[in-house]
Amino acid sequence: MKKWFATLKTLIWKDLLQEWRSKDMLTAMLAFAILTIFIFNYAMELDPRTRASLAPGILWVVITFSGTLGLNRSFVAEQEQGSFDALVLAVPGLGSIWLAKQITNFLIMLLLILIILPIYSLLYNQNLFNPALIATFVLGAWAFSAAGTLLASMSSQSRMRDLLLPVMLFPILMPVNMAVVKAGEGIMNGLAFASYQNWLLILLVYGIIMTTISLMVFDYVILE
Amino acid sequence: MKIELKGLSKSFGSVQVLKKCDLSLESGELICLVGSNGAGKTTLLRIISGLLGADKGHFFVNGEEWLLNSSDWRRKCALVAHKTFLYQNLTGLENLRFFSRLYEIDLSVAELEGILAEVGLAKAGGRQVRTYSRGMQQRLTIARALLSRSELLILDEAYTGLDKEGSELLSRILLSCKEEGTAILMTSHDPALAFGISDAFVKLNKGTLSEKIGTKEKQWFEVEGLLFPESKVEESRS
Repeated sequence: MKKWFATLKTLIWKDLLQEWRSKDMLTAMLAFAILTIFIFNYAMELDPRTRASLAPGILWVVITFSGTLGLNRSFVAEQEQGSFDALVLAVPGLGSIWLAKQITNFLIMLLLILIILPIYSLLYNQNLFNPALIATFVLGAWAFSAAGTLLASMSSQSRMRDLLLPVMLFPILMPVNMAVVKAGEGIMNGLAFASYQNWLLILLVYGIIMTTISLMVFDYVILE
Repeated sequence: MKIELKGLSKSFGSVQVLKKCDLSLESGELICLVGSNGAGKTTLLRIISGLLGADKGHFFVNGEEWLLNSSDWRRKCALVAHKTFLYQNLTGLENLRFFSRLYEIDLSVAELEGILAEVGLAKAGGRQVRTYSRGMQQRLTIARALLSRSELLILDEAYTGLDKEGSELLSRILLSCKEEGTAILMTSHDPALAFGISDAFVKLNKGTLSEKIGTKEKQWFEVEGLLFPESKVEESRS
């Protein structure tokens, strides 16, 4: 187990260093997210109360769409020079390759959330620095990256990957999207925790299930 | 270590690429696999390295049956393929450090720099791989493959992109690997170049693998005549 975690750490180090040097994912995600926030800002003239209840929905749309762009880029380094084969030869438990990518994608999504929250708050004149709302987005980001990384590893082997990923991913993400938006709405409207706790539970369970399934099936996805 | 493949077959849809192929390879032996483009050489090498599943066939190591696609087997193989398997945004040294950690070989920076120097990249270790020429990337690929000190070294057109000096260096490295007991299976578009270091040749033709043609006490033209009889006939006609 100790070796497995050492391998995982090495793989995460490689993925983060690659991203730090290339900024492939973050640039695409940030540019898309900021543009979309601006478009929403101009397109919807809303009163402050409606704004508050719509904020989680708008933000989550921005996060998932930019996240999908990032996922499409997350296997580029492996495709460029076929290094997936080298990883498959060298790594004893292939699940660690998936988990490293998933953790990297999750961390990049967190960074994206950290950057776009203040921008959104400024543009819409709303305070979104609510710990419960941030926790909802964090849980949503984990669930999103768990499902997304597995599907991205499948679609990366196809020539139509840019189209294939959203087509496969969005239907699977329906429970996550609903849970984030509903929980976020409850938080922004100042409702009691009990009224939205089930949505948070759904996010947590979804994240755990997708992580477990992905760890179990990744070997087959890569080798078959 | 003795590796044996028996009755290996592989199809892609209706196209049968490999038909009941048999091959054996021992420690310290270098076999060169030849065949025309599309003959299935790369497919065979990918199956042997455990990266691709076979439809039929058995695989034995020292007489004991193994699963080719098990991670235990894959970790015994080192592969140099058409693609370099290198991370372009990492430096040469970082690439080697990354793969050495995956193979759980704790090498110091000085040792890694020594490996880079062995393949003639002593001064380029700190540069990102994307700034390397094709030949330099191929040298680094060879260094990466040697890192794991695997029992089976598989090379698919490893001489590609190497200059004369690089080709000589690779031949020297392969000879020293043989002496250390590594089994080597390689393909080459230039079998004459591989003749000097090979113990035997096998030819893949229309999915069928020929018997081994030993090189011991033979001249290249004799081996060439056995490997490519059709071209010899045409030569004599002209």
